[in-house]
Amino acid sequence: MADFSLGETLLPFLQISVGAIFIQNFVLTRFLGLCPFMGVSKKLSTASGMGMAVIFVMTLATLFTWPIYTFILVPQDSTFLKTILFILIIASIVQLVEMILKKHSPILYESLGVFLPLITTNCAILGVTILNIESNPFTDSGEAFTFIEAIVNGIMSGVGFTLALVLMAGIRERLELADIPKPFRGLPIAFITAGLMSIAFLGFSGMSF
Amino acid sequence: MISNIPKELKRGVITENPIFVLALGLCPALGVSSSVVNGLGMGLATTFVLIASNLIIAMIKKAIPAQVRIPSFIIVIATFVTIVQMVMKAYLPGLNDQLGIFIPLIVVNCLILGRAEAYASQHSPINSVIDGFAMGIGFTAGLLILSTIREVLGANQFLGLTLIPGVEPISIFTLAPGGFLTIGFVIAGLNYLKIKKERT
Amino acid sequence: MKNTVTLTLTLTIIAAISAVSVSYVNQITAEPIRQQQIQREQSALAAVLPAGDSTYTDTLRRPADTLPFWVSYEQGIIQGYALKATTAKGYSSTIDYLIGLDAAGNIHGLSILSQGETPGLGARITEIASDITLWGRIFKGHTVDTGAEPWFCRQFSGLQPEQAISINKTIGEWPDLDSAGKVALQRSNEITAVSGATITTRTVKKSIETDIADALGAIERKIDDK
Repeated sequence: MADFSLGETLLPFLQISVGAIFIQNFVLTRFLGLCPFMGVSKKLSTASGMGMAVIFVMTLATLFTWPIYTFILVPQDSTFLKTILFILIIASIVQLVEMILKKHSPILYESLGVFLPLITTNCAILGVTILNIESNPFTDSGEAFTFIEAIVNGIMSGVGFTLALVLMAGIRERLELADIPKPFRGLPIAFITAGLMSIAFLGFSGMSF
Repeated sequence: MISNIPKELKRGVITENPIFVLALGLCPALGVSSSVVNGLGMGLATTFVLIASNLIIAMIKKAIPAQVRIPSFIIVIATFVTIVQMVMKAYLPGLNDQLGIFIPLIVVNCLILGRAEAYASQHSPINSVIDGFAMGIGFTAGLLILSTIREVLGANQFLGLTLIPGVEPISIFTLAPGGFLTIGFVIAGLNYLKIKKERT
Repeated sequence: MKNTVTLTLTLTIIAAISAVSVSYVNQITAEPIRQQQIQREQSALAAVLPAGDSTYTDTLRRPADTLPFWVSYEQGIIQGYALKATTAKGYSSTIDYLIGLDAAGNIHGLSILSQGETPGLGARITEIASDITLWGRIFKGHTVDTGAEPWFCRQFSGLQPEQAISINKTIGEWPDLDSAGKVALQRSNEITAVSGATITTRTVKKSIETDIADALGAIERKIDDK
């Protein structure tokens, strides 16, 4: 009988998931993905649509960038090309997603509007691809992410982004009805809200198991 | 016709400030503004990329077909960011450590792609350089304001030197929430000044 | 058809020029980057490794990590060791450090090689203790001695990593203690934390405890095999 513990094999994935969603939340802790966070969080429906799109693009981006980095750039000693290569891959994926959405879900395509091509410049996507080729900060080994770990990290980082986005949209929909002082209307109160959310998420910092 | 430099500077720093007015480049604005040295370093690096990419894009704009506009711009921007990253690693390793992931992220700083699309692709190289310079200085100025507030309040320091010995700073300003709160209040403050000006 | 060809060609040319320029700059900067790292390591090594007339260096390969190490000899007798750790996960970055031990296994010196912790909090592990304020710098021309050893590292000297190092949270930070206080801390194998940066402090402490634990024995076995 092989020495196989389900808990042990799944532990890294649990660590990565909790880590990516709560402890190092992309928006509220790492400051990645702020432009869409501010721009798309006014309505809950667009927020969740954007979140889904981001999760999808992050996963696809990791799927392509990790192998290309590990099996082509590293052996060829050309890791300095990673920024250029990654951003081109991401731009192509977003183009692809745009075409698919236009064809199969025109309603979502319309409501996302100009924000869809903006996913390319969403620093969160490029951020997750770069983080995935560095050392895994969530497990104890300190080794680089394996392919599966990188995929999980990509998905969960997207989930964390969506969580922050959806929470923000829920709050902002209610803020619309509140009596906000004139100088604070619009961006300022959104930032202060994000700040308060960020304080809440600070509670997760340093957590490890 | 060459643009009027002081006029462009006023536009870049005040009336169309990238961070506070256009809300571009927010990620690095919050991510590296926990100390003035980092903010300054990031601002200057971004300004360099902005000027360089604006120049090249203005020079080759006629040769690029409209459909591959955005990918071409991205390649040019990514090239200069990679160069900046390598030069920093070689000659300013301490700053490189502190700025971390935000250096490669200059590529997706919506400010640079935004200026390439909105200005450099339609104006002469010289004017594009001036625009890049003005916007870059505006971005750096915004970063300086944010990082000064955050470093003074959050670490009781400026440029790494203590301000008032023995006083415990409000540490939250150097952490993530502090970034959000600071920029929220700064924009609110600027809005207040604008409203007051409109009333008179 | 012709349109697609033009599009692809344009993109390919731009990408090619980009790749060439980046490779060129890479060639120019590769050497200074290497030199930077070597220099950083060498000066850290000089600070933490006990002096001797010859140094032997090798790498310890363990299942969890690879540990470069140096052994210092004086007339063939071991004076001390230095180990380079690169897997300590701090609050917001990996903390690389070089730790020097004397022949008895006590800490001779600690040097932080790189960190990206929060400025004003965790980043203070490389802070040099000084009373220099901004005003002193501007009006009185006080300067900070940038070559001095950060107090966070200095307080590790003389401690025994093979026994548990504890963090004393009640007496404040190390530079504010008098010499009797510092000696007492050393005797009880304790350090003080950077105020507000418990995680960063704990990371460095734990990493020293776990990395040194089996390393010395393994190093001794490795050099005996030579």
